[in-house]
Amino acid sequence: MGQFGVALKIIVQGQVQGVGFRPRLKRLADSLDLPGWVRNQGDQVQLQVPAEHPALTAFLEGLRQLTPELSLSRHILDKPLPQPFTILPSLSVPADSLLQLPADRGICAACRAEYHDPSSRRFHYPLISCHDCGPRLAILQRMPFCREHTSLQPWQPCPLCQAEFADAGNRRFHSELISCPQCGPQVRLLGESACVADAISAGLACLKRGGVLGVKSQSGFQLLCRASDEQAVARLRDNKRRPFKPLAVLVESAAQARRLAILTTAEIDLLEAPARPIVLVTKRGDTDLPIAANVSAGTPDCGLMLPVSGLHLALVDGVGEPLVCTSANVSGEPLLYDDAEMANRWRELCDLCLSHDLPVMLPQDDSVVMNTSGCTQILRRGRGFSHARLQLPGAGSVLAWGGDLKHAFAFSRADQVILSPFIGDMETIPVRQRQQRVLQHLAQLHDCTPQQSARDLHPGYHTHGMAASHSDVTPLNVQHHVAHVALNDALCPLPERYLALAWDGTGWGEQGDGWGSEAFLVEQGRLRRVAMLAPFSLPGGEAAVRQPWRVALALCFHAGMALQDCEEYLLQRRVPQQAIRVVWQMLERGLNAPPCHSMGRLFDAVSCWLTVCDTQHFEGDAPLRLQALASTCRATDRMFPITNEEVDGMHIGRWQPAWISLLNACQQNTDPAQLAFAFHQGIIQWALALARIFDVTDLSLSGGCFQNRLLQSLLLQQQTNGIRIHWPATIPVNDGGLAVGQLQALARGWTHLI
Amino acid sequence: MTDERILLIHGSGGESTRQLIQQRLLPACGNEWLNPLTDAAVLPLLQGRPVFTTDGYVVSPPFFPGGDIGMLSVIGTCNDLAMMGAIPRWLSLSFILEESLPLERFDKILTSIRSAADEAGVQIVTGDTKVVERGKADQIFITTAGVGELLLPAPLQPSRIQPGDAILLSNDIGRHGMAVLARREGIQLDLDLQSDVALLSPLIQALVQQGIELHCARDLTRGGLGGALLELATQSGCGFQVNEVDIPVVPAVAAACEWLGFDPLFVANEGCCVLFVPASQASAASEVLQQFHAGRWATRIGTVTEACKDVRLKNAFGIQRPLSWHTVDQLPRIC
Repeated sequence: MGQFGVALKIIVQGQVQGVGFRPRLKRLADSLDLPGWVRNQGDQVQLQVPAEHPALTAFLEGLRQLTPELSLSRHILDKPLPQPFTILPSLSVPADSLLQLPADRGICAACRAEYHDPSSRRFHYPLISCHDCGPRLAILQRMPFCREHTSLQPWQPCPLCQAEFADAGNRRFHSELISCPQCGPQVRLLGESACVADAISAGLACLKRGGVLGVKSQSGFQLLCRASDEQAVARLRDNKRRPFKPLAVLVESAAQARRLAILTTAEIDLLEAPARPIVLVTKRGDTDLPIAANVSAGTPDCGLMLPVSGLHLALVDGVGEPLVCTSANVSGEPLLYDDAEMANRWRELCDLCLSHDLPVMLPQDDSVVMNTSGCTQILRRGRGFSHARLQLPGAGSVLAWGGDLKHAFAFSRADQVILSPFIGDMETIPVRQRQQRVLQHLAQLHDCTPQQSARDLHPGYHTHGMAASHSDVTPLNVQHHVAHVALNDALCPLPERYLALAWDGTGWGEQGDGWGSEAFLVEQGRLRRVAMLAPFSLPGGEAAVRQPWRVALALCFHAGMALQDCEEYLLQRRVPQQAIRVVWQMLERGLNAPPCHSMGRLFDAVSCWLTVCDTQHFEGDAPLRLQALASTCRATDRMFPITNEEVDGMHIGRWQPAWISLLNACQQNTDPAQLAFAFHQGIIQWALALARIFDVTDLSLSGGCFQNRLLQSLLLQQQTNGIRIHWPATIPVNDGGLAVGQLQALARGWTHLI
Repeated sequence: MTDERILLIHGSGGESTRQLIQQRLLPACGNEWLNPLTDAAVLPLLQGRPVFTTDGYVVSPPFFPGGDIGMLSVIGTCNDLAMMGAIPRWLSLSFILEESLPLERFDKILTSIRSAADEAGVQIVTGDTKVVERGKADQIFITTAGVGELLLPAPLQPSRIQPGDAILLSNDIGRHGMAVLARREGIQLDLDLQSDVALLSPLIQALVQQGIELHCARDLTRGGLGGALLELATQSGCGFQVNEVDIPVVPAVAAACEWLGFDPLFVANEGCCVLFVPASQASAASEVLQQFHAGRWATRIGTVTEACKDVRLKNAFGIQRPLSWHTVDQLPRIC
């Protein structure tokens, strides 16, 4: 035994940096008079305390309450442990796996109170933060997390802040990002120089007179305007070139949120969570808060968000009403975050722009989440979630390129996976450039550059080509829907045998045809495709996605109807007659009408028939309208069943009779809401019939169609009938989750279907 | 022997063949080099360098709105020569005829060839005729070869494209492909869609004569404007930035493409070319082109850049996307 005794070496993992862990440990050790030290090391926290000490048991108990993820070992000391317990400088170490990065956290209740407290030093300080809140990943330059490794480094804490930092009794004891109005980054107007109070007053005045205000948020720039002002919203939409897609609304508190929407406890928890996401909730019909019609038309839901920073608080409090809050960018580019670029461009996006000098290192969009019948789903994984590291046994060292829509990439090392934040649609150059920059930044942070890569099978995807240029090793292809299925396989507690449904708008099938209504039977790790909808054509290819009436006409054609039986209905929907006639000829001749069996397109067609949606303005527009219509119907026994026909070992879902029944019912002036609901029921019944045919009790749901809240709740109701429903709570079921699915598909050997 | 249709015997090399040539081909195409009907034409020396090209024409249907396979074969070959900066001089024509092709149709094609050759100022100096059984060829296939004369100090070619050059388009796009497709598929569009087939050599020569420093030219046939730009970017090693809003598309083509789900960028043309000139001469060049009917919509559409290596399209809001080969099958049997 060494002359200095033996220490207990403790390594703590998980979300342990940037959360005030070390100062809490120091307080605990000091309260027990325990010598030793603690420091951030890599992405972990390491500490040493005496292996024999009367207070050791109490210390370990206290430590376990802070975090359960401990590993202990004994270590012979070659010098004495420091007394009192000391926080040592952080240590960078090479990692053999991926790092757990610190999460960005929205302003906490204590800081909100301080912000409003005139006696506090940080009264009305827009960049107020503490152990529990503030930017982390957004400003991180390298690990481990400490002030010197963030973009806050140039700002030296003033003597008062230094004193608070050193004072174990202070709330901000050892708070890495400590700052105050005197020593912290200053809020100012772009294009002018003004001190804090003036800048924010100017911003408030701009909002109050119906202007569009640019604001630098925790992870990028945003555009805000009063949500009650239809003209302001119209101007904001013009500036963004986003005429139709719903906009999120920033509210001051959960109480204010309750005035706009009917909220469950789970939804309030999501609103107030540190990730501070946009939560999709059901609008309240009897709201007393005026919200302009053009904020989120065509859907029964609205996206609400609570303030993320003190700056948000200043604005939403100052104006006294909800504010539209959306990313600052023109449609087709990613959100703006660079100060120099915003300085050049803010005039085209807003009337005034509030910014500050703290650089954002990793731009991230706000996350979007929803909770249906108690089950949470992340629709967009951005700020507040993108730091999280996932466990994926067998993942190897691979860079997965995901898909083109709602792009996010992922890389793996030693059974761990990082999914990038939501990037956007890869069609445009600015988004692709952002992807490259984020890839570089994350690869650097994790010190990880895998040579092997995986990509979607689709040869026309931009990511397909980018994957090939990025590395010398030929990328492995993973079929789109197999990746969707694999995602659930990795993340959900599924048994050895289950049925996986991958339903979405489109995905390149193994023969280059358009898949989208796939059912796979998974048993003993093997994947077998067993069912799909009967195929139909998409006249005009991509044009059929923008114009769902084309799909509707195609369904009429394939159901054996004559043109005169369906033309009138479409004419009433203001589809030009010449266009209808040309498309019908295309169907008859098979001209530029590629085959598909996409569930998403089926929804589009039904939506077109039952609502006013003959043109889709954004992804999911048509099905959202259909869901909105269906949700006004309480319940109905009516159903439009899809029958199964077995052909060469595949179960083909015949939608033709359902379509014809739907059209007939429409003709008889049945309430379209009932028909919309009945259509949803029919789809569910098809899924359940398949479950019965294959004798499974577990259904795995993936693909963008399962973002439909009505489908979700109808399926969840089936849990009382012994069916278990599975979808991942932490990764999107839409194409945003493809990359992780691709990694799992590789690990499972699902790059070729059986 | 008079018969209403092409028969196998017309290709046998005997009396029927001789009559076909004497009574139909020579009156239409004849000249001092073709008339002797020797195995090959012995041509005079050219002042400039000889430029040589070949092409095959299988357009279906052979008669389409605005043109036919005959004039297309002459004009298309002349245009290929003109794209190098050469003046078209001599053509060869090789016919593969399907047994039972109506002679009247063949005559019309020959007449069309004659007009086109006269307009282009070229001579058909040698040729061949074969006949195959019914079903082995779709009415008529024409293979050509063409010789042109390059009087410029250097040919037009992709290696001469330089960063900063202006990218010009000689006319609107998409008319040929849409017109042919509509006729072939029998789709009633109720639109006035005519092929844009037109001779481009006079336009090139006019530019040269007006002192425009032409670096490169390419006619937009299969693959359309998009295909030509992608090829040229690779061949020149340069990047192109193109403004979508500056690309002229007539309403009839826009409507047809919209209804049928095609992108005008990848639809074939037969009387349109993309040109690369120094930026300072862009306006002057456009004005020269606009003097011609085949250049009435001539305009600048973009710039050659060092900033990238691919072709980028900028939309009305200034957002760029990269141009890539369409995953949709390109239209078959367009030229």
